[in-house]
Amino acid sequence: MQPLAILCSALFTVAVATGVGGLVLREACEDLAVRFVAGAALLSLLVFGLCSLGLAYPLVFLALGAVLLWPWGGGSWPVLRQAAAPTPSTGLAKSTKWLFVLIFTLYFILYFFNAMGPESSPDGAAYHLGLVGRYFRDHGFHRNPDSIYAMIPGGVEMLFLFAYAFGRHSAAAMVHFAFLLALAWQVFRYGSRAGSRVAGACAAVLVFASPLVGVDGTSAYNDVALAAIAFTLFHLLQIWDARRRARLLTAIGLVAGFAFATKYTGWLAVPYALCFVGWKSGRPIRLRNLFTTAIPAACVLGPWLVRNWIWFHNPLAPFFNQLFTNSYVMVSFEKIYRHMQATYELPSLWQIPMQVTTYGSLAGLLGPVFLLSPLALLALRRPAGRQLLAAALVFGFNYFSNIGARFLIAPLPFVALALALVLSEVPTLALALAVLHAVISWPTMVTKYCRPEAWHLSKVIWREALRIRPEEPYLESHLLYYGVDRMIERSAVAGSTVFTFKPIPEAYTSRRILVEYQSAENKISGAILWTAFVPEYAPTWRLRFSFSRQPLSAIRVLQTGSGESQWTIHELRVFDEGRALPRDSRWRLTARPYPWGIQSAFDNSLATFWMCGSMLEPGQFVRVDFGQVKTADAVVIETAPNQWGLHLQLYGQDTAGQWRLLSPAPLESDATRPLGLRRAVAEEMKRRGIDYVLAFDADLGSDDLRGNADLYGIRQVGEYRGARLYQLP
Amino acid sequence: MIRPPSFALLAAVVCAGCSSLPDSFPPPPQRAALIVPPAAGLGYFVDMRDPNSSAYVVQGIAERTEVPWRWAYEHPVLRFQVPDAGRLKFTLDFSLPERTFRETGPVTLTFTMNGRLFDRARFDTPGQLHYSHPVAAEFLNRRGENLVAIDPQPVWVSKADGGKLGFIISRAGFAE
Repeated sequence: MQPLAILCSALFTVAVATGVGGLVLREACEDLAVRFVAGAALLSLLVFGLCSLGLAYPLVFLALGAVLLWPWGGGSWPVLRQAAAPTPSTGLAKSTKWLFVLIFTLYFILYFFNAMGPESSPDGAAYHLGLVGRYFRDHGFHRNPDSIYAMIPGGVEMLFLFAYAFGRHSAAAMVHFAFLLALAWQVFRYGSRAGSRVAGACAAVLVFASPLVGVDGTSAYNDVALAAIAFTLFHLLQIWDARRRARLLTAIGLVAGFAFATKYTGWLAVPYALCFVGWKSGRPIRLRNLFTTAIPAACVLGPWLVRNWIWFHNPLAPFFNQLFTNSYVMVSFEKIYRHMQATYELPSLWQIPMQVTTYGSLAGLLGPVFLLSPLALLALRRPAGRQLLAAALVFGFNYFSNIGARFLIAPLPFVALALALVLSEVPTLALALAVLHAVISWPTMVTKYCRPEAWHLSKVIWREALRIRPEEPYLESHLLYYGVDRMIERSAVAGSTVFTFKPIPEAYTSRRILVEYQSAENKISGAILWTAFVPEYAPTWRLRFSFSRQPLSAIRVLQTGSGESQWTIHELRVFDEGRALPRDSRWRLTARPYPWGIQSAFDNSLATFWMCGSMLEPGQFVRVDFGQVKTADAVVIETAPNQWGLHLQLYGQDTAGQWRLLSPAPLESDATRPLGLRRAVAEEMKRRGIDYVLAFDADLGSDDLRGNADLYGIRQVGEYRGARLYQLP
Repeated sequence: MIRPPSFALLAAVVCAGCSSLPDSFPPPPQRAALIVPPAAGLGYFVDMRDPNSSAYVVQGIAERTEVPWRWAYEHPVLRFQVPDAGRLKFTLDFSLPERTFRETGPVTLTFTMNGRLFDRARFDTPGQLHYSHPVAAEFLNRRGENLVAIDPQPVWVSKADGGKLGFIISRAGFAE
């Protein structure tokens, strides 16, 4: 039954999307692949609406699907018949045609069974479907500040949710596979029109057989979907340029907006579409055409921006946090994250070509034949080649912000087509290249030259896909930490929250998982936990500013240093003749650049602290307004010694309102670690809504949790191969 | 002219979206403080840099100077006030200088707590060293002072004046 459910739910989703696309495009474009992608944009928007209303139920999806399919039902058959009709084989010899059919059939079988198999992709199981599962359980959206991934637009995930409602994880992957099929088909169709059938077929093979495209397109990812959307947009623009139907502009807008709603890296789709339409339109109708394109685009991408704006105070969350300041993502995190994505710790960017085509250390390989990509520049001689290369530039523009090979999938079809156009001038050469690519991209061949860590498919898993072999052992052996999920499901109370430093496949647990790096709150929780066992994080550093006793209405601690660490304050106390001033309700606490959490520096607890949210930069400050005049002669900051590069000055505001330097630098000293710190840390974690801590034996401090569980007041409630689940007091 | 519904919509979007940084916050409710050694009087841990460190010395340890450590002699004894804070261990940060170690060889420290032997540890290398050992509850006097004697064996004996030096103590006391 399960394989049938998977297949039917994926087919239902694809059919509804295609039907919606038919309603949008009607006779303007009868290509089913184009209709599917265009309709997917609208279906995604509708599912977004249902999620916003808390109506994400299978029955609602079923009713929506039925309603959307109804008007299309009768009228679809001519389109299907047309699509299924044999295409004229001009330009392809019979043997060549059968060679291509063989290649596509073999790869289709490989991909179909892998997409239908248990979903075991790292990101798919971690957050793409983790979030989808959460939307499904909650019957819609909930404000989720726990994860940066929940902030990223999820246009394609809305389609995954539609399929997941009936067929769960594998159905979502099958929907992504449908995008791969739509992409390959359109590459073939466009290539056949722009060049020759050989060019179209070769380009389609180059894309379809690419090891990374295969493994990504059969997983619950969205890179191949973005590539399909990008190519559909290009294809629609070309069709519109030839036919000039207004309906096409609506579809162009929808698809361009969908590119943005699928992945931020697709943002250029909208200006690309508008520029193309504006450029190709005649002067009197230019504005109308632009509006006809822009409004649907805004309708598809707008809701995601508005959602982020309202929930996270940043329409482009989790990025641009310096511009859109918010408490959910720290600027320091964004800086580190961007740096990591832009470098992947590669010694030199010159290694990228070999890594992304052959070795696969940047999370997969496109195939060694793409080392010939520079030859695609020869396509500039043709109008179609120029169009293709311009589109490749648009959709590859963001690549250096994330050099993972996946981020080359979007421009890949354009490069493949341009390359095929060039090579098809000698058809045998193009054919030979396509065959070579198909041979060396087969899983058993890939392992002969790629690095062991490269992400690729391994074989046709038909028994697992048909569930002749059960899911559980397959996931256990193919998905890292799947067993940890099972342990959490067994050991943690339903509805509880688990904190961890390492991401786990959230798609297979119903518990709320907080991963340390995925939000500002989680970062603070992680640093609080480290306070208990990392000496540099313990509150054992004292900074004392002494100055002549005087009346003050406010004080300001100014940070003037630069560095890669963060300024933190566990406690800030103001003294008068050796006595700490009681924190009066009239006091007002201010901090920059990250004002949130400053109260933690004034709560009398050494287990909590304020973090400044950014790397050390001059101008950061903490200010206390007393609300009245207070006499003081010292300020003491109790903090941790992990703040290399910190330089502080103390300013005071006198009774006349003038700010004066009270002390140019504090006197530094070390203090003894407080007793009861571990217990206080555990209680603080609990206070922050965390019920369990998941620690892996290789994690920093895991031995401390294990060896001093009594001091923390925690209890180990589950263990799976070095992953231990502790229940907080 | 902006009509009321449009204005309301615009205002809602602007209010919801345009986030300015919060100005200020009042102090939160105060939590119970953790246990830390007092600035004056006895606590559970002493750092020889502290101005108050002499309060912890009963005997056998050099006077406080500018340097952040002191010599411990033949029979050093420290005193501590130990709070009721669950499972504790006694820790000692100390050094065996190269110069004395060359003559003494490996040094054994005998730890006595409130007159009861609770551990003996041998140190085979010179340099900065750390000692840590759990203390069973029955060794501790939770209400009054706790005397900790740390006897080095052998001690270094000055050929010039017969003075005896054991080890250099930096920090000592109880920790979790």
